[in-house]
Amino acid sequence: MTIATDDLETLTDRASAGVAFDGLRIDEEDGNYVLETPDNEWHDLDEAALREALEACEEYVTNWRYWQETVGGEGTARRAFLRWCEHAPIPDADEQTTTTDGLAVPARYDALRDGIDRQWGQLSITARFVDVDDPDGERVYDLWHVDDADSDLADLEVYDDPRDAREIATYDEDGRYRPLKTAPTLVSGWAFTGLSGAELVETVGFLYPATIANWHRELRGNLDVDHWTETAERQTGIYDVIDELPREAVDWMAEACCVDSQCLRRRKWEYDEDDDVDVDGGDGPFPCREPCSLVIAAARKWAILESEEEHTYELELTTSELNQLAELIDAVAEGRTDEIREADVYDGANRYRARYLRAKRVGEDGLEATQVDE
Amino acid sequence: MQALVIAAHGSHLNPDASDPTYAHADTIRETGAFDEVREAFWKEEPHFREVIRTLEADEVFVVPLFISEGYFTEEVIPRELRLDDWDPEKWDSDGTSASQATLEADDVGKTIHYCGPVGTHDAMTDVIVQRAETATGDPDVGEGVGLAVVGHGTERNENSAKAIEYHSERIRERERFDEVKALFMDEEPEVDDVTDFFESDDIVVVPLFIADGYHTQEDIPEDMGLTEDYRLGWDVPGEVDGHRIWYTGAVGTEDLMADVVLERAADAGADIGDARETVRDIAGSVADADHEPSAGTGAGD
Repeated sequence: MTIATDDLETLTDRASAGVAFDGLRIDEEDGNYVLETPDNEWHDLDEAALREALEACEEYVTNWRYWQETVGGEGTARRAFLRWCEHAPIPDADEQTTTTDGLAVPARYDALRDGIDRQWGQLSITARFVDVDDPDGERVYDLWHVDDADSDLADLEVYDDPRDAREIATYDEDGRYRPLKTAPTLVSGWAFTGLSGAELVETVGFLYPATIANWHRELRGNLDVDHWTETAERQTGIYDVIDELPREAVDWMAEACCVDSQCLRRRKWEYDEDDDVDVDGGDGPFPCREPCSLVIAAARKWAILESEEEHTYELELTTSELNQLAELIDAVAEGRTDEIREADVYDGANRYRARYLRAKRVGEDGLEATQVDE
Repeated sequence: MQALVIAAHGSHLNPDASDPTYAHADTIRETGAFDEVREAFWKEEPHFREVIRTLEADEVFVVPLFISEGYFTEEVIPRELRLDDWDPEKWDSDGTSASQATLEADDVGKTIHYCGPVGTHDAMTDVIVQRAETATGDPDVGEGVGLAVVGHGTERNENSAKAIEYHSERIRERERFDEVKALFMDEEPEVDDVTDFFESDDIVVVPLFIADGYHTQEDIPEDMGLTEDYRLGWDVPGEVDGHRIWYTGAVGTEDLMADVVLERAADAGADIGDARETVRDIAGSVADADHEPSAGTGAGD
């Protein structure tokens, strides 16, 4: 490993104003320099001696150069995310303390030679040195689907333009449109390799829009959560009705739409500040700060449906037929209908079983039932 | 640093609805005029609500990819962007003359230049003309040809019709086409009877819509009698009542739309350098020499 002459010059230029970054500390005292790393201290260095001493702690120097010169953007979500990618400590909003315990520079440098893997929803991100044999501190990032973690790169479609991620994010494996980018239906079979930090953040931004920004806000304790009641009351036009959705229906809605099997964002919004939704919010790394547009659109339908009165109906069913109705609902709700084998008549949601039930119990006007409460 | 946000409707159901938004954003990215360019949507992600926080720039130009001033541009987008001091009065518009308003976004502490919609900008007139050129494949189209500019109409708001009439009048004043008419889907004069309104044998029909969808690809071609069933497609030109109808689709898909977005941002103070020339090179030139430059001439500047 070597330090470029330019880097030494830049660093010695900055030294007079003081440098303190990731364990590297340089201060000027009466024309001489003090250099510190967690492992060593040098005092009374003139400029030539400082350069010599810096050569002895080159990992700290190239690390400083990568973060302060290449990445920059102090306080941005982009920088915090890239630091998360390699388990580096992430500064608090005050830039003085760190919110997370991270690895020190030598441990990170060891790990970056092999590549450091992190998971972001269904994404697997690897941070690594550009040059593994003679690392100069420059990192690049590889990105692919977690299901492809063990795949040979030659078997994957390889991309390097972040904008290609838009097409990947648009359709599921059956070719159906994915209106919700954070649904756990991202297709596999692709890879982005050798991305710069900025390109990685842009690519993740196309696959999971705004997740990095909201994660960063949560990390800093300033995530602005809008609970259900605030979000619903804000709506106008055709969505004006959604604040009429009954309290318990909001629980059912969250169970229907917002659990991990449907969306990888971790729900932080509740019914209101003092009234939690009685459904698990999920375990993902990035938060959901308000009901999304899909939930709003579905809530409109449910608000209208829930405005109907309940009635008591009488209909003839065997016990097995009653159970079969539950099986059918369950199969559709779990997206399981495609998996049920054609001849598996033991499954209540089998197509022939459903057609038989329809032939027997469903007339031209629907299920043959009589309202008995009027 | 300055950033551009293109704010569009998007769709929960149609994956193609956002294509023009992405295409125009990409064209502007190529110019390098903005440090960041971001697409934002009402029905897709990033949502209007969360787009500003994804930007590092302190100065953000938001251009709505909508046709008219109305519910979305005056109410929904500013509310979702958290432009708390917004009031439609700040545009001081007669329905087609909004330029921009400078505001703060409450959640991020950034300066937001909230621009009027692309559909009412003067440069949109050029895009309609260019669509007539690409639809006919004739860069000099005009002589002996009628042009119908088609809009939705008043179903939602009166400004929808105003935008159509505004551009129709501007094109008429150029005296390039023999006839220019504004037609509507749900009010008189109706696009259903398109051939009744023209004497010219050739009629170019340009729908002033942002994205292709149900209206432009199903309703309008069937209503005009270009095809019995949109799924069968139609000829360009197609024969209707002895006229030849040149109809392709939503004007919003035209490459030159990126120029309108840029002009909106420039009118609001964005430093775009020579980006407009780059975009016009990419999009191909508008082949009418007599058109006046749009920048600085629009009402509301």
